[in-house]
Amino acid sequence: MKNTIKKYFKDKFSSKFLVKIKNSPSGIIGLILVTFWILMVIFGPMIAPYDATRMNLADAYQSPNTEHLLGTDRYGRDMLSRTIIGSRTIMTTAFGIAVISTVLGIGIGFTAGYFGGLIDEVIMRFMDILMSIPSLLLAMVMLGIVVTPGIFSVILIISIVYSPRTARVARSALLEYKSEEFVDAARIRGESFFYIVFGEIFPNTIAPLIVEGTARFAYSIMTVASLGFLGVGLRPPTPDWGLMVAENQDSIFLAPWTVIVPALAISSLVVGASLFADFMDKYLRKV
Amino acid sequence: MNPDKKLQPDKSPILEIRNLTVNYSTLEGELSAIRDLSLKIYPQETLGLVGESGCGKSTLAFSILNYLGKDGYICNGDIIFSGEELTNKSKEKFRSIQSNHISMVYQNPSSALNPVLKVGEQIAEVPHFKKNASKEKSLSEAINMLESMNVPDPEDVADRYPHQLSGGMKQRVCIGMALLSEPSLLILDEPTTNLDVTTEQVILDLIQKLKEQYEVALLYISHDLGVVMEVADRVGIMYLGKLVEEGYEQDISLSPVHPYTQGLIGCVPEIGIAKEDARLSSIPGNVPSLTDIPNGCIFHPRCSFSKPECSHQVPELKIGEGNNHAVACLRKEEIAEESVSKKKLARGQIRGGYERESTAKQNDILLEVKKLKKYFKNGDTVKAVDGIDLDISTSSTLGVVGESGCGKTTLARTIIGLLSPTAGEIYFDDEDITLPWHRRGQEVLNSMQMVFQDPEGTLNPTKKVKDIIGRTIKIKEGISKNKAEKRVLEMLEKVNLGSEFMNRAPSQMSGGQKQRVAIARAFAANPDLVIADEPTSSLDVSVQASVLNLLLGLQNDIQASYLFISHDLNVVHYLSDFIAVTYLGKVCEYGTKEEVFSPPYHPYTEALISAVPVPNPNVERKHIRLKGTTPSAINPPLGCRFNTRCPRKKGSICENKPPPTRKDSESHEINCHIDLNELREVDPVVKSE
Repeated sequence: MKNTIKKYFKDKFSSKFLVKIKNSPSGIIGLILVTFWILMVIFGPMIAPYDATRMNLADAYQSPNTEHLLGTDRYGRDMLSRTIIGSRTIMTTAFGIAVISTVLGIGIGFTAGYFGGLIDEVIMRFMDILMSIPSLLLAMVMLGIVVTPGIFSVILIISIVYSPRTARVARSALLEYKSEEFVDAARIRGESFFYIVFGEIFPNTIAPLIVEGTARFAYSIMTVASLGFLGVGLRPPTPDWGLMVAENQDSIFLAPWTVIVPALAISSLVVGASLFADFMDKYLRKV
Repeated sequence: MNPDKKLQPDKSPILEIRNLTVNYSTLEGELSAIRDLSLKIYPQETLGLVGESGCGKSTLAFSILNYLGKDGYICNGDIIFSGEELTNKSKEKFRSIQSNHISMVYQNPSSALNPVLKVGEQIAEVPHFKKNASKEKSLSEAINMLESMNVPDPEDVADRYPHQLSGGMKQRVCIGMALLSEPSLLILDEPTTNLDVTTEQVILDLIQKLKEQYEVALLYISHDLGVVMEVADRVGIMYLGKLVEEGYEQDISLSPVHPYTQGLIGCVPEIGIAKEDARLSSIPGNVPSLTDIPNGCIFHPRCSFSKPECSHQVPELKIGEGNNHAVACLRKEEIAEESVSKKKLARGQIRGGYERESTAKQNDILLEVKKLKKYFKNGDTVKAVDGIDLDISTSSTLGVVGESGCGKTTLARTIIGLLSPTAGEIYFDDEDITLPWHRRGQEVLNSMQMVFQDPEGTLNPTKKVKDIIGRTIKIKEGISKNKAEKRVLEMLEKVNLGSEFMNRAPSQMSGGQKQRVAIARAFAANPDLVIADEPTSSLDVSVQASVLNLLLGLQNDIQASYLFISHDLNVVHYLSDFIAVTYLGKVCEYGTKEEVFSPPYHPYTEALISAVPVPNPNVERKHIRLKGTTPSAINPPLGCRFNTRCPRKKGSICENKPPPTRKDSESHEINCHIDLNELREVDPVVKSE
């Protein structure tokens, strides 16, 4: 399976990718925004001018100036450093959610789709129930049960909340190929369930699953930020964008930059990831 | 059709196409689908156009209708319709000419009819729109038209929606609709390709009748030479957007000259030709893609007569002296002479046939199917296979033939274990294998293999050829991937594919090549039994012949048995030792192929054989036409399943009692109420002079 994925990426992300993305302005914008934040995640500590959590009340509420390019908040913390360092939590969380929810979804969706019948009914109806509850609400309730939510519990819980959606995509991708003749050929060769699903069908479903994973990444940024804003999830003084908006909402008229900066960061990443997901959809759909 | 029929070259043609070139702009650049093509159709004449897929037949039809889509355009040449130039007309002018004088019938009647309009209303739109007739008058005209289409109970049919009609009925509605506008030219694009043979015959008869009744000129497009020979006065053979041969129907069928035409005729197994008599001649290679059209003569890379000059000199389509037979070939004189001297050349007898196995061996029964039933429950119970007994002996071939909906594919899938039977038993080598595949032993799985119908779906698009074939070998022999590679090469060689195919993905191969890989995959396991479910039905005829030859050669090598399923009677007759004719989930006749193809016949077998078009005017055949279509398998007729359509129905006994099995010989069984002596009295369906 590892080899299949490796081979898939080698085939798909060659020069063809560059040619295709050149013709898609929105794809380029998406790629630039996402790459920008990925660079921030990797090189953030080197770029950030100040310690993101260091308070200095003497510098509180400074509007953007040469010393603090994006101003400071009420504790005198540098907004630029907080935003840069804040990208690390939100990006790793969102990436973790995208990966884990896709893996969970593949497991659930493939099992339901391959066996069909009663197994399919039971699993998919349970997924429907999960999906009928608004995802933010469900995540809040589940996070409420955990005593001190850390980054891992946030990732796991949002992944579970998202898994019905990825499971649906995985299931329908599998159903598209389940009755193909090459799958029948594998059956009468005496292959195992595992080989048929992951050796024969899975490589054909990578495209829709990557698209779904990229879209999940964009969505989970919103969800993580919303949870941070509502105060469920990560605790201060962690520099989290959602949390930053929440902390500073009282001073929105006094020091608007304290809210605008993290809000812009959130929206740029969400827009970037969504545009990129759209491009991936168009790029991978037509092989 | 009629040799005495006089064509009027002195009359001006109704349609004349001069030096037409049609291009499509695609991502791969400008592709010419039709290049420098000229033809004429005279009033009341039928011109048949034959060619394999991708030869530009449909593009030609659409360019006459100015309906090429946004990427296609006529870049050169003229289309002149009864003296009027069409290519430079404005859209409106063109449309008025077309709607008054040219009509078209498409391949797929299901998508040609509007599913939300009743059939009557839909046909009535034509007179309502064209003659401003009142609604009532239009509807009565529609019903009259249905009546002249031989539609039984036209008023009832007019009140139905398209989905409530069978394919053959829908096609009649389409033809009726096309004729209501009283066109002087009717274009038919593969009108019978999606229909069963028995229905096809009924439609062809209808077309013949209408041609005379409505005095209309026809352009009949088909890939099936036999069908075209049946309806056309003149025939044009198309290859890669050009006409390579054109002439009267008799000239083309009796003395084809162009190597492509000869190949097309030779690669279809003719009725009465069996594997013992001859190998099929096939055309090597595939129709090239439009991106790399060969220089010189477009056919030279596949031509067995080609000479060095063929690769740079373009042959012209010239009419020979003293006749109306035009051939675009540089060596036409030599070829014509050669063909006359060995007249049989075009009839497929190129090399010797295949030896039949010694009879002693044939008595070992390899597969035995007893009272096999497979019902599908989906609200109603569909009785797809309803009590079938079969056996296949070692190294012999059983052909299963029948029209669509007769349960052939279900039978194959149940035997191989992809479906679990509702009742009955399956024995393989005396072992009870009435089990689904995952409960069968690996050895049984290895020794039974299957070749599927659809070359597009049979190979995993994400895998390379060496992995596809290698997997079978790895499972069978438990050897490593690297060691298996040598065996993969051997298998590729056996199916006439070179080592360059090892690393190809299915998207880089043609349909015929994919089917070869699928065959190599099946034979890599050294099977005792291979089930082939219509393995050639979606391939072009020239490719079909080479795949059939391959299947026979491989069978000879390893002495495997075949269960060969097909709707094509000629193919089944060519390939099989024994034949089972199925109808609605039951076997109606079983025997050796000689017994099945000669009297006594089951009435259904007789009708099937008579429905196969023969592209040879020297062969005479009976005309038996079946009424209606195969009934649904949800509520099959009581008594004999065939009683609703049987032309020799005896009476109420056929409706009430299942037919008895009558044994004509040790191996020949007919399930029919008619007495054997009476069945013996009929003449053979096909007589050749």
